[in-house]
Amino acid sequence: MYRELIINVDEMWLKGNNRAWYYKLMKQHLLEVIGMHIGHKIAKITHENHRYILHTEEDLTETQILIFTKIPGIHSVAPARKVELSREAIIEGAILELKQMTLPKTFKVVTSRPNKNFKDNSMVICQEVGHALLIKFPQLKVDIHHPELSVHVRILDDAAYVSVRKILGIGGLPFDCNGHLVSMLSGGFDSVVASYLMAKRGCRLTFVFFHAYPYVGDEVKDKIYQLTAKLMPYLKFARLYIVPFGPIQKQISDMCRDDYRTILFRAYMMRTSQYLAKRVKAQGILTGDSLGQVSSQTIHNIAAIEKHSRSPIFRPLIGFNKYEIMALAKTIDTHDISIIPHDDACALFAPKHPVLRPNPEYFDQFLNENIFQAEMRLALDCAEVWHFDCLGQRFPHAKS
Amino acid sequence: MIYLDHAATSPMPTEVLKAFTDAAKNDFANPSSPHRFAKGVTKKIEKIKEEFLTALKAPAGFKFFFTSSATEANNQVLYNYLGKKKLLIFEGDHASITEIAKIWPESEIAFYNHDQIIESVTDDIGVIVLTHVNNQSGIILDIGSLTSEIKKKNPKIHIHVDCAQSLGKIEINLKKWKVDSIALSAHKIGGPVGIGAVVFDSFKKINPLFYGGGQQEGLRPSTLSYPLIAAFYAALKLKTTKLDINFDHTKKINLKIQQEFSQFHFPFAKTASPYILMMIIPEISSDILLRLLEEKEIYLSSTSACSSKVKGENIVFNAHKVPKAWHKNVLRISFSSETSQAEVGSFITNLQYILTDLNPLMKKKR
Repeated sequence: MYRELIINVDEMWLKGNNRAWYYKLMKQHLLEVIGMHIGHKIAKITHENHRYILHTEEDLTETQILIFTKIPGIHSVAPARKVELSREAIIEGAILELKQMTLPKTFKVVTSRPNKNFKDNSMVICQEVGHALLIKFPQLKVDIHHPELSVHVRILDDAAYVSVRKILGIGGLPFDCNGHLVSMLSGGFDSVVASYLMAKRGCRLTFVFFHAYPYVGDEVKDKIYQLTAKLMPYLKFARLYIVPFGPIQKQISDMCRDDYRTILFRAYMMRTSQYLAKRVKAQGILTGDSLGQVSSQTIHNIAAIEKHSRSPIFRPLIGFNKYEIMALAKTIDTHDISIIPHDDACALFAPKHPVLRPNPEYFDQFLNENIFQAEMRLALDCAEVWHFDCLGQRFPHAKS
Repeated sequence: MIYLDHAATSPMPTEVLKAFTDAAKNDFANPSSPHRFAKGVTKKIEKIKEEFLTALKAPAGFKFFFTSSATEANNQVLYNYLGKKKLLIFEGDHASITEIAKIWPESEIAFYNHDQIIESVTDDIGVIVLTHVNNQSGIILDIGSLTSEIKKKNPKIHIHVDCAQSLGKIEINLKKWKVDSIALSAHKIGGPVGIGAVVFDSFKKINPLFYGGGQQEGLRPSTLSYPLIAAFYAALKLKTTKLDINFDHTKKINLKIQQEFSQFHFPFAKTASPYILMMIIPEISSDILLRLLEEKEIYLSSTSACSSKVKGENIVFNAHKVPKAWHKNVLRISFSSETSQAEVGSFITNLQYILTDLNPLMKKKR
């Protein structure tokens, strides 16, 4: 069992003068996760060069270790044994580590020594530790190029750390370093995966779901809660807006040509999301569009909608195939929730043949003549707003 | 609010509530206690049981005990024969019957047609469950003639009848019926939720489902709830005195809906109890209509309240031979004798308004 966790950061070493700011955001997110999953009383964190080290007073569980791999900006984590700063202690630590695992056939020792005061240099440490292990475990062989096992020795200022396991994280950049997006959730696979990808790039997200009540039942809300909760390990916190949209959809349907219903719904959802972005001070909109997947995701339709948008629209899945998206959904464990069937307003509203290449004149004229500003503001005012913490717990958000 | 879901549960009238609170206030003694106060309550309960038997025209030899619900009543009767005798049921019946059939080693499924039921009764069938009024279609079975024909064919068979939807609405006559047991429920007739009953021919042995302090001859132990019993009886009294008047009134409001919506389908209206009207509006999903109606505080059901969570194809509708394409388009409107013409009128106006409002959507799709 381990009480130390070495947490390596990802891309932040690419940063120049503003590097400190990224580390600050990273540390804030780490502290939040530690507080929620372990508790500040028994866990503290130290910062050493490009890594953080978590020290706890109780053994870390596997779940507690893995939760750190989901934090954006983390390259990898390594549960480590902390030993005294002496050659003998390091060797003993390495032997103890190997004793508690199934032995591989080949290994090598990797050393990093930011603490230059330690008398042995990296090469010497590798040789000495490797030598000791070969004597203790005669069946082992050294393979510098393709070892089955890498024994990592890190010589830091306070102690040395020996680890035999390294778990890759999701990488990317720390939470909230890249601005704030309004993510349009649908309940399907794509929008959730898109949200994960942008969270990985350090975006803060506010989720919005357009609820076509009474044409769609309230059951779908459970699905949206579950999906949002599944995304929370990748975010420090988030808000979810469930916006009542049935009356607006009905109004649009009554007024427009039936083959334009789908694309106009999208356009007005986009427009409402922009209002929301302004309210929550987000800089852009995030969607799960993948080119050509459905009729509203043709370049013609995307272009038509984009023209009426005031803020940038991010479509991280634009070049992804459905199977690639579903594979990602499996890795973030949202696949089985997304697959639950839910009522679709489209059953009643869906035109037989939705328009693939909207007539720009008609489409633009409709959007320009029917602003629906009051309706959309009212929908946002009436929205059900939830605050999600990094454990995925949901609390009603006090409206400002 | 317009409430048209009385087949699911019916609210308690003032008289019933009063009977409940009076009993709770004045007769709170545990009927099993040894003192005079308790014995007074016991006496009242015994009197009510007799009144129930009289109301059901039960011949001598029939016994009565209270359960927590009709579901428990159905279960208790059927558990006597589980694994011992072959069971015959109808797939479109309430889950408290069909679910037991699933764990039954040997069971058969009959159809609702009179002749087919008789035909399905063979010598090897030990128990048959009939539902007096089906909770979804409203279909009424002629229990009198069915049971005498069944007993003629198979005299040893145990006939159990689920009367949850008929008590207080359609005559139950145990003198004319050749039944061995029936199940009753209080909350479908404005009684409280949480009480039902079994009436059975004491010639047949019925075992308890669980054991306790020996109440109700040990058949259904646990402290008797006099407030629930008093309220159940009060609700029954309100109904049995006006059975025919209520029937005619309900028939009238039921027909009114059928006339106003003659363009839609009422597949069971001819053979059904007037208290339950199944209406099919093709093309519009019933859950959408229910939500549009609930926005106007009008409440009804699409299927039985116990099975409306199941999506898509509906086993019960299949059993009733409702075409699959219509399974999502079924509305169940159910009345109480207290449902007024004005309420039904308002329901009709509101539904017409909703359908007109949806019309542009539907027209473009056609």
